[in-house]
Amino acid sequence: MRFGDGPAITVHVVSLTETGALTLSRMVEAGLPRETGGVIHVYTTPALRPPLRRRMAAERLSWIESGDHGAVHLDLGAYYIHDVLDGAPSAEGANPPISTRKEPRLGKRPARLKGGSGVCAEAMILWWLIAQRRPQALPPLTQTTLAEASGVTAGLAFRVLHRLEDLGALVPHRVGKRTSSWSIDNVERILQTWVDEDREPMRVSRAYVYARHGGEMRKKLAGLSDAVDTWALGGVAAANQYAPTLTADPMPTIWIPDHDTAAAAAKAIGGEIVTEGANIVFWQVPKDPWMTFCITADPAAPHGAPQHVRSGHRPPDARVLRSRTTRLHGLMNDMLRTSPDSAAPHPLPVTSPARALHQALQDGSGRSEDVALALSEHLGITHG
Amino acid sequence: MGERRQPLNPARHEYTPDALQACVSALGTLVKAIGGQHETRLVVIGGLVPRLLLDDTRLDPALEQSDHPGTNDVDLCIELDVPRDSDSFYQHLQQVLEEHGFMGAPVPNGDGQSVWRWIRKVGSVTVAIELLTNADSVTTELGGTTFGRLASNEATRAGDEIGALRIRGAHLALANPEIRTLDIDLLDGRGMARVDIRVANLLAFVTLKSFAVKGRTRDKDTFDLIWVLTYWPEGPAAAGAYVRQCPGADHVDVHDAMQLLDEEFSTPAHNGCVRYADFSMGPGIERTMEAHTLRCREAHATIQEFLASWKASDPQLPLLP
Repeated sequence: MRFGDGPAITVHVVSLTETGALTLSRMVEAGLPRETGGVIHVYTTPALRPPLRRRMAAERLSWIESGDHGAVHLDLGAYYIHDVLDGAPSAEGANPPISTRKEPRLGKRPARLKGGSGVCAEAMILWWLIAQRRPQALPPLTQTTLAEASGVTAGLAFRVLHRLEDLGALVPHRVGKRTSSWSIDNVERILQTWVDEDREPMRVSRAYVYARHGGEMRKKLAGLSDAVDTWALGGVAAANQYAPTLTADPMPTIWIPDHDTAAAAAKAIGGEIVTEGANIVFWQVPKDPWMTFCITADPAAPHGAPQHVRSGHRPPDARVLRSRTTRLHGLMNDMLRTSPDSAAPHPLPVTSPARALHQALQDGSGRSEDVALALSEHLGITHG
Repeated sequence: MGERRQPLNPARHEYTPDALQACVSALGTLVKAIGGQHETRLVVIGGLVPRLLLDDTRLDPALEQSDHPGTNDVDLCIELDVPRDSDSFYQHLQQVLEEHGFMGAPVPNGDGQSVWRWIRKVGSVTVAIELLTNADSVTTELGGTTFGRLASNEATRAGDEIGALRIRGAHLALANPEIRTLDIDLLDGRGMARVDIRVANLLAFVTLKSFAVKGRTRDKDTFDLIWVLTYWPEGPAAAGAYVRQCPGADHVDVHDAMQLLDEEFSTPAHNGCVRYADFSMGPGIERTMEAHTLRCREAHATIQEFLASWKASDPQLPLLP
């Protein structure tokens, strides 16, 4: 490679486009080489989020992101190029569009993983987590079982399953020409696709509640139950609860039902809505997808007792509720008995570990990337 | 909340562990040298109180770490209201200060040396010992004629070069001090000694700090106050209830101090809160308006919790406006 009359630089292009962002993060952390024998490596990658870009730039790595947004960072000694075209996620913010694969047409309604489809993705990640620990415990992953677990229609479950099959995340098991079930082959790809696509606009309300430390805040948060039907810790705070990484408690981010008001919730715990100087954030989103696998602390149980998974949000009928409770939700209980929070003096309701990881990855601020990596390692989510 | 001002001096980073250590050594050396019955006439007030009142064994265990920066000077409340035959105490105090290398600090913009502020170098740190005593609360309203005047010419003729600054509420510190027994490294390589230190109790500390917050411009006064109430076991509400039970809690000085506290921390935008935020955002803390406002809210909430508990503990007490 030579620019004008500048020196010639020998580079070696290494393709990592099929590598998930989490795996790539780990590779960078483990010491992804900048060069070998004087030959500089230029990595082709999927679209990256700002924290990983910053980390790679700090390591003086060179990379070109795939997709149509044209993010390039070449640190070649004599030459330095950093360019992000319009529409790409900036270094300061935001969210890459993404999908690095060319997707086949799936008819009129491609099932992007957001809302109800996002709940399907959440269910499949939980499915995978449970299967790692108790392989025989779960029924086969089928259109019907996924729909039941996620509380979505069979049609939507069908579209999600085929979409993820096309993305290479699921492997179909066929009987003749019919697909009888799927197995999860690349859970990271499910997660990554969900992270990239599930960006439902949230209503965000910031509040201040006096608390000297995390324990006091937890105690006060318990009062939320007087104001709203259901609530749960979400975001980085939830991820940090599953895989404690941060030395200081992150600001609590609390999901509350869409039909409730954040002002009432804040008031119930002795706080108020503020525009600046907040120490707690309330999130609301239409249809409350976070509720489906929300894990609540059992107020009747002694401290440290197993938690139970909320039976979901608006179950279609009692049969489905039972099914969900005895299968995926019941198994989640077993898995979460070792949750660090289960022994805390004031265990908090929390979103599922899958959704906590999803949100920590989406956050892209502060040390959320570290928390996300720690949780993904804790859960064993990686590929390759 | 408007544009953030620069913190008034000294800023947080000027309070160093070396300075704290030097102050403790100076205090221990002085108290030990004074010895005998006289040591009961010295009570520590001011910026050294937080870490003496709430040492590591007394901090609220729910809070994991303390970040109190210490102090750069030693404020000692001395008892002046004593019989004439005890003049020897003041002579002795002056002698002890001089023997240990302290000298009256130069008077700013004036000639001569201070009789109430004594300084010496300890390593690279200049330690100041400040002598303070009680002002008659009946005749010394804030801004009144005798508030803050030197006592040396009025209260004692003993020890020509020693005196004390009159401050309101100091009688509370002298009346019911707490005692802390510490192993202290004495100055000038004299080794360690176990010394009983008399420290202002919570009632006296809060009262004196409230007057200081109102009467002078040091941001650290607000920080000391919020820090103690935050780290008090079970927090500001428990501190309020405790203060209410202390002897002297009904004194007019206490009532006035609480009123001043309420005024200075009335909302997160009030001066006391802003000064706390300015001081607390020391090195290593990202100075954003968001973080600053959060600290203003912390200060406001801490004082209001404390005051609410203090008021609630005695329904007979007139409520603050």
